[in-house]
Amino acid sequence: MTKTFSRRTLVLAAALMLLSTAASAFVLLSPARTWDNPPNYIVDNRGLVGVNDGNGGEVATRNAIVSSSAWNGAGAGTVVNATVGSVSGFSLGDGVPMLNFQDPQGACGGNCLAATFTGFFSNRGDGTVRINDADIVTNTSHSWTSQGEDPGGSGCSSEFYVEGVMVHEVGHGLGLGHTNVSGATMFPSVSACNNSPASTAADDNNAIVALYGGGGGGGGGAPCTSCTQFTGFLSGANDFEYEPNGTWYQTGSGTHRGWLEGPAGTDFDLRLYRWNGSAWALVASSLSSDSSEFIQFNGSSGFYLWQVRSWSGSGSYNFWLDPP
Amino acid sequence: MKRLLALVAVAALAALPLSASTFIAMDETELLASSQAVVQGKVLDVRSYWNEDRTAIVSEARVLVEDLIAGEAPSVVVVKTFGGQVGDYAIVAHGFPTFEAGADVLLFLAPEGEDFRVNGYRLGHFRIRDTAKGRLAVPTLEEGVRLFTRDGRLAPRPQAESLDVMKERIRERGGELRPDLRSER
Repeated sequence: MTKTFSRRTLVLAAALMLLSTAASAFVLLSPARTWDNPPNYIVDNRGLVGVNDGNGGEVATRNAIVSSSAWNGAGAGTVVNATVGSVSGFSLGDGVPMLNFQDPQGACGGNCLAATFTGFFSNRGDGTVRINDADIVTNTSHSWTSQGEDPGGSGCSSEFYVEGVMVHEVGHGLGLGHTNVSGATMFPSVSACNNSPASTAADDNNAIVALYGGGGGGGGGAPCTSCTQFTGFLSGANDFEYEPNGTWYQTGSGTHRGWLEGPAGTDFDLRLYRWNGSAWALVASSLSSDSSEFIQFNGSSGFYLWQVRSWSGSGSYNFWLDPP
Repeated sequence: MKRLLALVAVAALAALPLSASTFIAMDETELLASSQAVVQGKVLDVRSYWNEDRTAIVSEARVLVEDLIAGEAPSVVVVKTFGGQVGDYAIVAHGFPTFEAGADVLLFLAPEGEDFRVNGYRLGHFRIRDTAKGRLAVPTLEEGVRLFTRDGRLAPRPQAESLDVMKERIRERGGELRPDLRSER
């Protein structure tokens, strides 16, 4: 790869943009936000009114949240914990994630079935956003059930499975938005008596790996389904390459996403630049202490360029790009 | 070059507006039957603050009522909603109404203590936009919001329509409003 910013035919690129088609893929909340450490949801030990499985669905909900069939099996290791306990002192923004089967603040009434509130600091200082709280409340005036009450849908009638709804809501609490992949947990709709969202799909798992990194055994592939993969090699500290493929690209306004995976034991960083008319200006960076980096940046139209740089170590890397 | 072309060719994923809450669909009949007033107005200002016991960030929008379409409401209404930003800390109440100063809106209002809230969450919240097709009342429901019918099936999404047509219809149905409502939350 070269380190020069050679010109390309912009008209051709623009024409190809018009021919492009929408692809199915996960979506992250914007701006991208993550936890520093896996949150530990306290699941309301009073249970959910209307769920008749012996404990109001509290155990089923807790088990669904931490199940290896859900977020913790996505390939990024343990990303969420949950315990059944008291939710007294329930408060938004206090740094204690809770799933309250009631609604002490009267936020979710009438036609609201369940509501999620995420609290976050606007900036970590490095351009990324840190979640520090995520709370869920439910409206007991609607009909709920669980697998313990109505296993496999048997006996269920116009009720919502608490496990599936809460695994979906916890996905938002981890930083995920809605996907357009039907059948995924983060698909925005589910019919009554359908608990399939309690088990995550490949698209959901890719989203978690994109946010929290791989290495948990389920990764290895692209972290996204609409992106393009590039590869490169860095010879040691301070060596760098530009992507895609040694050059820049032009886009309209929208969200740029880039994922970097380098060798174990190295520290490769990722930066995104935009041409400001006279120079390449840094607009986003991901500078963790390992070589798993991710940037999501909402930008105006213009010319963009990614830099992969070694802080320490050498080896080959993979870079995936999903421009607007 | 091939990679560049391939990159450009596959890059067209449109980001969805997001919501993380789940709502039961309400049609206009249900909205009217549980609202105190329907107003067209302009958002004067918005302020966010921690509530008294510091358990939530709440936002208040003052809305100048330009047209009381149906029901009873003062000339300036205070509309409360959960979520907002105070300092560098934000709480997002996913799928709840949000307000911007200067916005033109049409609101189905229900009482919230001494003030109001938007009835039906975003189902009762419309932005007014001037378009080539005339003035439209545009639903603010996000693309991704989970919206079901009461029997659990996927509900049709509300669509933008002529503001005048919508107001005329609401005026004709004004008798279905509930001016005697108290806060039910």
